[in-house]
Amino acid sequence: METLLALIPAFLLAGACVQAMIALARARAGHHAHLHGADHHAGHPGDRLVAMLAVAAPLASLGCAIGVVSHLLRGGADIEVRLWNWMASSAFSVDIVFRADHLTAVMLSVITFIGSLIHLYSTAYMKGDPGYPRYFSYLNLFTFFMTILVMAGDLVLLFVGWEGVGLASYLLIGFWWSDAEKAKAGMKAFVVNRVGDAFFMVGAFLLWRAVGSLDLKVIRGFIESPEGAAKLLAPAGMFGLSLASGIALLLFMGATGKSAQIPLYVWLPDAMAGPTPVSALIHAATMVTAGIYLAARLNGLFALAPDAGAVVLVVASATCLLAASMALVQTDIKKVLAYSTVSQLGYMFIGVGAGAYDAGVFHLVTHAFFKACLFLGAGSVIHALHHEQDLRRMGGLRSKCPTTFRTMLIAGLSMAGVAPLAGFVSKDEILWKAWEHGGVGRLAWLLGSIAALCTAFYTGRLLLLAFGGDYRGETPKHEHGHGHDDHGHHAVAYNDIHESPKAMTLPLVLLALGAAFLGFIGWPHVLGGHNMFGQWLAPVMMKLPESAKAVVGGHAGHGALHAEWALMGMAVMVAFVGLGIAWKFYTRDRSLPGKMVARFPNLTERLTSLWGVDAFYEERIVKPLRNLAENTLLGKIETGVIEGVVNGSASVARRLASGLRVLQDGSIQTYLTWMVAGTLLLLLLLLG
Amino acid sequence: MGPIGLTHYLVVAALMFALGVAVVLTRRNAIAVLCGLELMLNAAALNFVAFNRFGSPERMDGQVFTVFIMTLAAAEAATILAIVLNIYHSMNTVRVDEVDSMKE
Amino acid sequence: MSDLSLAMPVILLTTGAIAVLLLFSKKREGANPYPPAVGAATAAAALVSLQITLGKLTSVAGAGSSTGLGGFMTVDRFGVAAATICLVATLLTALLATDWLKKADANNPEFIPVLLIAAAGMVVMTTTGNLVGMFLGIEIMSVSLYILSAFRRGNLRSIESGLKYFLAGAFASGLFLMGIALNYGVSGGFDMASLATASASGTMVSKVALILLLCGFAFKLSLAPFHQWAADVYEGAPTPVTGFMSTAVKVAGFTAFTRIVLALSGTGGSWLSGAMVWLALLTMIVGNLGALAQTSVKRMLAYSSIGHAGYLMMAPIVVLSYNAASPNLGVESRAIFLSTDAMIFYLAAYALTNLLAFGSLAFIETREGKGLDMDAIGGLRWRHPVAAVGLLIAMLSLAGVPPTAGFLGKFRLFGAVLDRASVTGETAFYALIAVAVLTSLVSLGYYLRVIMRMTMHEPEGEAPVLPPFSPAWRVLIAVLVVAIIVLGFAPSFLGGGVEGVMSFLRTGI
Repeated sequence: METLLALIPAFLLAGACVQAMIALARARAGHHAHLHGADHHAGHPGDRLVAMLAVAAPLASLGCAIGVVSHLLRGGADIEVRLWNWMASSAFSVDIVFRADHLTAVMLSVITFIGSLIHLYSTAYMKGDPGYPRYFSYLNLFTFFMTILVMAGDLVLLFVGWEGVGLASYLLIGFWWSDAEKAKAGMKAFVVNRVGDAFFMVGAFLLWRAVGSLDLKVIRGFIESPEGAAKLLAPAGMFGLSLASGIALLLFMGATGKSAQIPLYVWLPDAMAGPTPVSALIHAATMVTAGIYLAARLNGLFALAPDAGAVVLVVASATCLLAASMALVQTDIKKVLAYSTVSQLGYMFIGVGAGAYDAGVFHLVTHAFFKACLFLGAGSVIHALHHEQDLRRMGGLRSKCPTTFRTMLIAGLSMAGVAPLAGFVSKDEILWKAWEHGGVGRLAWLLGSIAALCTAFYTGRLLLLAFGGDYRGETPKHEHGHGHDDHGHHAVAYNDIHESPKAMTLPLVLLALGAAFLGFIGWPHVLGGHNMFGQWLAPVMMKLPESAKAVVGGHAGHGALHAEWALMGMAVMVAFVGLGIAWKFYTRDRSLPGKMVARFPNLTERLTSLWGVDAFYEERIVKPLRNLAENTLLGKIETGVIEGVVNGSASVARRLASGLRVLQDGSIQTYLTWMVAGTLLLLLLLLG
Repeated sequence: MGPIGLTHYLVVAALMFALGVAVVLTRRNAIAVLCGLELMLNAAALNFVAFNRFGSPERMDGQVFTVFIMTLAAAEAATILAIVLNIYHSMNTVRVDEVDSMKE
Repeated sequence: MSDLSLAMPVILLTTGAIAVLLLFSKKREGANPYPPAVGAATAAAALVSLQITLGKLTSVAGAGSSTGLGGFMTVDRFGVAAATICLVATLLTALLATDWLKKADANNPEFIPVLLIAAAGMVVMTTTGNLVGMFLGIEIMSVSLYILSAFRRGNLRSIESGLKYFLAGAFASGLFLMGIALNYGVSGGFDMASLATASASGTMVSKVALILLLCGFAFKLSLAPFHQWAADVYEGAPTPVTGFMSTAVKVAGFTAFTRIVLALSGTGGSWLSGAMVWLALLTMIVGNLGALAQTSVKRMLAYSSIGHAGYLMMAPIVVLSYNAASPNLGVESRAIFLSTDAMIFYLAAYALTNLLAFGSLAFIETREGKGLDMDAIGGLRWRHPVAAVGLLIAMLSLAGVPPTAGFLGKFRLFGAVLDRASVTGETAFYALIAVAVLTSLVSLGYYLRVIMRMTMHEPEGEAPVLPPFSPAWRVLIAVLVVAIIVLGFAPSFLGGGVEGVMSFLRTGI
């Protein structure tokens, strides 16, 4: 069993290395081909082999993961593999140690299963790309780091995975590197994530100071012991916070980078510049959920820090609503999904903040399925339309891409919260837990419910614009935003649109099945279920010592049954109302523009076009919200740093250089004068 | 005025050192700058000899160190002269302030 | 242990240098691969003899160090570890320079002998417990490096680099020497204990002596405001020499400096720490902002190395904070152990990384005959994938991104300082950590810019027809890449290497 666990990342790493070697070998040969004007789009004769190898790696890992999961399902003990000593000194020693418990098993299943599907999908989606093996090398590498992240038995090793996925994501976002816009997106993701990582590291250091180890098992033991909990509850001397709150907040701030929460969410929408399967795997299903995983892994720490939990609730629910409102008006199909992901991550963090870690992880799982399905569906649409991503130039694809339509419909309804699909079950669980939490939780519930309305609306809008109505791609195009692939998109004639190949539709179908039925593994008690998912994760939840419970205070206890029913009813209603409004706006409106114009002349301009509503939202809601978010200090620093990095050689460098000229004028005697001045200054300072 | 003691040597050495620094900072001719550097080294050497003579005359360590310093000075002079020759060869100048192609 | 075995590495290095001079001094047309090979072999032999010395050291129970040659050499694990890194850097420089040495204006046989002599100076610097020895080591190393910097005699920048290095270096030597003289006057000796005596006396002269020593080292370690020479010298010097200077010199310098600080710690030397903190802070800021301003990759790396010196400076500061009066001496000596341990690891990681970076750059330079501006590396990924991978890993490691060695180095070094901060509660340590973390974030900017430039821009126009790769060079780059990742992920795989060496440091404290 230990070998099986160690093999999971090993296969992926081996895959990444093999692909990298193929890519390097080809780069040398290919350079000459490039010079002689060879056609890249024909693909390389070795691409089939590359594709097979690429899918084999995650599939093999999936096999191992299934072995691990079935071991745990049979009631087996947690698995631990200690590979070698990483660093040792008298003060601390870190081993490379992997552990698989119930939480890891869940994450591993999601990563390797969805990872395999997305590798398979990519073999068709990326066909003919000159960087074929390079792409799979990065993708394998990403999956490798992701498994490291969830298997790590030590916070340092976890951090390696944490950084590694960021690196792979950076490489994949900028995969095409064709224009500055994309390179900038990759850079932005990397830099913003590093800002978060700085907080993560400080939090980890404080934790190490308190516990004396970063081994997750030791940390757990520490938190569960009365002395340890007492130490963590002691005031830390930072703004009157307890040590546990301080650490939890720092780690959460680290997570806001990776998991795209306010104020560090800004990179995720830009990250859509990467290939679509990458968006599905990294920016929807796996990497961005690392923050949730971290919180669930250290659940006892967050439980010891109710004030940190309140902060998490506020930030998460605000993110949830803000992102959902932004998704309302996006015209780029991938951007809609990107903002939607930010919003859904907000739900998961609401779960974390409310102390319902299992609910957060459950939503992570269902979200991985429905969002991956939506992204891959979007990829399929983009593929069919030859790299058209603008929703305004789609429409009527229902009959042309039937599988894509059906699967996206299921996944979309699941996300919109239509009972009894998976997305409904998990989201409802989170909102219920937030309500039950009381206090700030009620606010989170309110914001989350409004966000749910938005979710239903933009999901309906996306589906209707893409699949409903008539095809609008043949009309000559006017202005265009950024974010398109530069593969050159010519308007595709309606009759030339084809459904994507099997390699792409098969993953869609499997994911849609998950999006529909996965809810049953976490079916709530109130509907006669047993919430098997919650029970499965129960052993992962840390048991706080009684002394600590007395300080922190327990949960408000179980809420009334009728309240849960009522809330659930409301949630169902919200979903239908949202979808209904979308239906009205994007299907019915089209027959009523005349009447509307007559009644509201000042709205004429907006309603003459189908997307007047977009401009309205943009002007009245999104812009103020975005300004609020981006004009904060962090936003400014962020844009400043990004600009500095990307355009640095031009502007920032010149400004800095002019400052340096005082110090560095090229004359050695000036330098010597500075040295003498430095010496004299030191003499004065130290002797005076 | 009593006999010449440690303090006298130290004052002379300090003056030499300061003069050396001043020469290095102000003279533009590379050879003159080298002279300033030699003054600094010799000031230190003088200190060694003086401290040895007045501190622990039974040992010779300070004076031996002075021999090392002289060797070093010779090696440095050889190196800098070679470099200056090269500079003169390609730039036709021995002024250190004119050698400033790299900056910022 | 016999005097001869202690001095063996130095003897081997100088013998090798003389042998190369005698055997290959006739200048001849075309490439001569033998001097670099002999140079590398000599460095390897010195490494072996060093490890044998280490083996003897550990076999004597309880003995942490061995002193010989009339107190001139003190060999302990700390010094051996540092000398090992220096010699590895020498070996790699000799190999990486092979390709570069073929260039017409660099094809002089003296390169390798001078390199070996510099290495001998470094070994003396790192394994001496005596100020005379330290001074001689520094000078042997420095004079050799002046020559190496000005090695391309027909190249203006190279000569300019040599001149600037010489003038600044000789000036700093003057300060350093004056410091030794004054210390000698107060304590009457040259060994490390004399420093402690002088420092404990607390007289004005002894303080001036220590400040002058500090300034001399501040120059060697390129700490702001003693750093300006470094940027110009590193840019102008031949690229392999820059690689060597920015790595091995730092290792030797920091080791020697830490030895002095170790002698001062616990003997009333703590009044120096405030100044050292300011130097470190200033260096981090100036180095990283300066690097952000550069458009030349080589000059950017010069500034980056200044920034790294600022981080490294934190280790001696921690060492100096040793409090002999503390009731818990275990905690105090742990701080010293943690910080020096982290420093050596950081230096090892940094040395490998920078050698990889400069090795790749030297290759690009000789192949394309262009400067090393950002534009020169545009589209590198397509032209020289191997060099691009080398540069990519080097940049990531310099930026401290896991799982590279640079990450682990930063992790341990910053961790050691943070540990100290939480023990002493002094704001100085928190300030150091805060500035270090912030400037590390800034540093991402310029390291990533390199990655972006070489992966993003397709070469403009017709790409030049390239001479074939040398397989040996590719193997070397691959070895370095693997070493950096292994050092980052599984340093224990290096067995008795750096990690084992580090398990001990001055048991007395």
